[in-house]
Amino acid sequence: MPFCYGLSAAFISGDSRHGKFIPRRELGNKSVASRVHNSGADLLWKLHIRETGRNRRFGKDSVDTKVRIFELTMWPHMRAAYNLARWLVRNDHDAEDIVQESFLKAYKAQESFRGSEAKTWMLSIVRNTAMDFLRRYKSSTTMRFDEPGYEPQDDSPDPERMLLAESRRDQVRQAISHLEPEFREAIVLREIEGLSYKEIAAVLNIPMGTVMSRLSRARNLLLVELGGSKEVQHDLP
Amino acid sequence: MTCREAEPLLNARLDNELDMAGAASIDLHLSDCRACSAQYAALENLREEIAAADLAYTPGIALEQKLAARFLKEEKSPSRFWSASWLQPSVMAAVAVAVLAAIVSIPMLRTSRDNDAVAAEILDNHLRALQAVHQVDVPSSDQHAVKPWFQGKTAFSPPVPDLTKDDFILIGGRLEVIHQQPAAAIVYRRRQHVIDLYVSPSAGADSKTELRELGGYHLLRWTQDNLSYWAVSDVDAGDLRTFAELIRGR
Repeated sequence: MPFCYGLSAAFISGDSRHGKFIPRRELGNKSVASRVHNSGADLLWKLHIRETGRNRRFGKDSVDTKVRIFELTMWPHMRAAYNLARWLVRNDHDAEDIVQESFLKAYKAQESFRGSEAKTWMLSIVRNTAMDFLRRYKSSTTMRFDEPGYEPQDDSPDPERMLLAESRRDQVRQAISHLEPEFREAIVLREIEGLSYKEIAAVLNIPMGTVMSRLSRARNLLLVELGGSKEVQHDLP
Repeated sequence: MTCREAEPLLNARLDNELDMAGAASIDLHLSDCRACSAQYAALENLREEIAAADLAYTPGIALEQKLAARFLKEEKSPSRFWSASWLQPSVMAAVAVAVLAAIVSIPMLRTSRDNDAVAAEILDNHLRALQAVHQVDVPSSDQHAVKPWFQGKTAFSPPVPDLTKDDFILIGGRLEVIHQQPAAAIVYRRRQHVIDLYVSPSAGADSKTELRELGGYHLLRWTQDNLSYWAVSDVDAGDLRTFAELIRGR
């Protein structure tokens, strides 16, 4: 695992299981349940058999085998894929498009994927697709607001609304939504998806030390935004 | 440790990403420095707030349906069944030979068909397990913990050899049902690859290993001492054969 963080990297444990199992319990959100019940109801496979009348999974190049393998390995990550896309592009319609495009891309590139890290592989495709989308959008339109990173149909472009947010929940949601994409994706993968640093590093294609520093920056920004940060005098240098 | 060094590591501590020594040195610093410990408390509080806000977006059910529909549309290749190539004499001759061969080998084909179905089921089970949170019911690298675990759960005793020195690391075991039969799944790891070894009772005679490939995954099947074995993984065929020989020769 490549590091760029010198000193800090030495403290990061290489075992992703710490990050994988313990924090997920702490998070206590929906992602836990959806991970346990993976691999859905075999929707794609049933449709495939109905449409083609085929279930011939013999031979190494069988299309049926390919479809089946794809469903069993990638389909379980649709919820996570949608969540990431939704946070990055910040509206439902584009998020659905990005998920669909990503899954089709993943199927075509299935040969390049082998083994056990299906989720991070899928999420990295979603992430790249979403980032391409954001870049395309930005280059094709003039910015209508002064805020950095204003995107179409934004959930929360209006600072006025921020003040009037009915609940703390909305404030938290909006604070994350207002982060620059590179910080937003780190927070979403860590706090909502419960991924370990190693997994986040794989999704974002950055070293683990960078994952740590991005999360550090992102959280400091959130603390400022949410009013939880106080300037304190350090006792030590 | 200085505050400057501690600052980014507070996050790693919060995220359970530090090893024991790293965590201990941060904890020591936190007990010394009020500012850092206040910062740490703020980070903990932020994490709780984010968790409490329940921010995961869930796709509508329609997304899965839409995706499946789009998928099949792209996937569906035009039917070439009655295309011109069928009418060429060489192809007709080949078909005739194939039909004859098929008639002769129907009994053989039937067992091979059965095995194909089992192979598909084994692969499905393996892939589902890879995506699941826990791949094993009894997680242990100790063969003396895994083997007894199966007792009372299965009517047979699957072999659970320690193959660490051959670079096949025991991860644990779980109970499965394959083809309406209880099966012990013993899980090993070879580098990044997971190998599932399915063991179930069999009335058949001992047989040699038989390799097949399904979509880039290798399956190796054999029968030995009234137990039927299937090893499945995405490791290369050579590694899987080595693994099988180690199990067979244990």
